[in-house]
Amino acid sequence: MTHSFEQRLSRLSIVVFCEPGPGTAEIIRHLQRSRATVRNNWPLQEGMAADADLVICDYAAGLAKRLPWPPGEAEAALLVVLPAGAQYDLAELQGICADAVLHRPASAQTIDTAVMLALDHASYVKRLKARIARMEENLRAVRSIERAKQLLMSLHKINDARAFQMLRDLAMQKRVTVASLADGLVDSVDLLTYK
Amino acid sequence: MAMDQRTLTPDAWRVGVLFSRTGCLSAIEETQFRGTMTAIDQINRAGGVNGRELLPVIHDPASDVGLFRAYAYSLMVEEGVQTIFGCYSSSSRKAILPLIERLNGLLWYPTLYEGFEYSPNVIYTGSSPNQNSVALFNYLTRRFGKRIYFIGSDYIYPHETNRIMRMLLTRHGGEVAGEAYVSLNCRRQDILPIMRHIRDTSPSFIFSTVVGEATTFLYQAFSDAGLDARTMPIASLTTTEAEIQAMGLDVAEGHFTAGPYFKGMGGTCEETFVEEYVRCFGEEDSINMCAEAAYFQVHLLAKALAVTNSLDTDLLRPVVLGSSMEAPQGRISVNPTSNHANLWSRVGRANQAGGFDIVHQSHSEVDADPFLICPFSRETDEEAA
Repeated sequence: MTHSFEQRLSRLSIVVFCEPGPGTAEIIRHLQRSRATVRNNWPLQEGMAADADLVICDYAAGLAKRLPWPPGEAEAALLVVLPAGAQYDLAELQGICADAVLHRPASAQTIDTAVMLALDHASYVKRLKARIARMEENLRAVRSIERAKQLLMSLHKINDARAFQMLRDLAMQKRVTVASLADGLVDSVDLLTYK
Repeated sequence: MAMDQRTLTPDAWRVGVLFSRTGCLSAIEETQFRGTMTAIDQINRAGGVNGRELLPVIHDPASDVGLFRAYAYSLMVEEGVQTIFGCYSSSSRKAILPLIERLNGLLWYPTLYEGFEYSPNVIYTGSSPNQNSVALFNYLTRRFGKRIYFIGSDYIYPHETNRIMRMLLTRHGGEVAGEAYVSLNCRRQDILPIMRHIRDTSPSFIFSTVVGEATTFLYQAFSDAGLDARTMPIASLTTTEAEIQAMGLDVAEGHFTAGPYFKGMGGTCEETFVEEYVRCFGEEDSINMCAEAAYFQVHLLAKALAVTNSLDTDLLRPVVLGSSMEAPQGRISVNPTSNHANLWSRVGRANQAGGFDIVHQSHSEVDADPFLICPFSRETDEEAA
């Protein structure tokens, strides 16, 4: 385990939902060496990993339905531990939306590899989601401002530039953003004209 | 420079420095390199950050987008560097962005650019269009008229910036007199037919987004054609003190540039910046807005690093966003909603001494609005009226 990876792990809260046994104990011991906070819970129960950064979970049929979040809306990195020599359903595994998998029996190196990939993948997805959310917010703001301008132009018989100036001046007076003021205006008109 | 001789501790903070020191964009990227190194040297001489020096890991991408990508990979994967100061052209930034995002690095980008971008893995410290294009447009159209000739280098930034300027022009009832693009490696003779067309179409002013060596060719061709900056100036967002030194002071005189910083603005912080720069590089002629942004962004990192004591991007990001500092241009801050710096808006006219006389400036730093959601500030609208 490299120094920087160990440092990164040391800040994490990890929950392990794996059947007790020597293999699971080895995984937990290895993670504890990094000074990460590791909790072992078995069996998996709903809502138990809400505050974790990394969830390590034994593969089982129907696992997707027992995870603490709907598939695709993970709040933590998810590492699924696959059983040694046993069959598992690829479609089921795909439905779990894991960030990485770990095959039993696990060694220190395979644990580190799987944990690193799970954390990196989950973190990347989180950043992409943040980026998309920001873009959507921008689009909504532009649309609200355009709608608010149209309302003001129609109400006061003024042009586009004057309508924008009104919005901006009022936003400055109220110390809010033009977009939030426009949101409020559009919502108010929608409410007042609701039939 | 002094820092090269210093003995750095094994525990130094390793940061990437990725500016071209060779190739067609080397003149301007060298100023960013120097701004970065000036700040690093200044911080290290003051004891580093939490007792550890900043160690620049330097590569020269030679103005080649492919090399930018290769060196960014090398820095992050092979050399273990997460924080990178670098890139001038939008092409180079776009080239390394997927890698920076996937590997969760932090790119500090000290260049004015065309906006319409947000990445959680970039801190943008150059001007966005609402901080420079709008001010320049309003100042020039009010004084010279609304027929604009667009000339730019043929890559992302000029095309996107001209699209924004055309939007402003349409909004204010203006007219495009002409539009032309030249290669990044253009030759002197490539400019001549464009200059003849400019003379024939007689625009109110020329809006240039030409970068690199071609900037010298453009301004010299303008002068050689007998055109007069007093009646039909060139307005630019990219022609700085460094380009003026290259083209000749008499050639540049009377033309306009918009930016957050011009050398010689005064103030304690600006004087310190110039002194430190001269101490490191023995000259001050190349100091410009790009060098200034490259300089203050290193200080922004150092300030955040002192808090986090770690270069981990996930720890640094929340501390950097919303932070502020006294920069050579004045007080600046990093807008937490866009990752862009809130900067000053200024218009300068090139003078005989190779510097700029400031003819317009904002009352305070202007909030970055890279997506031009609310691009028209009160004061710039008033000026355009």
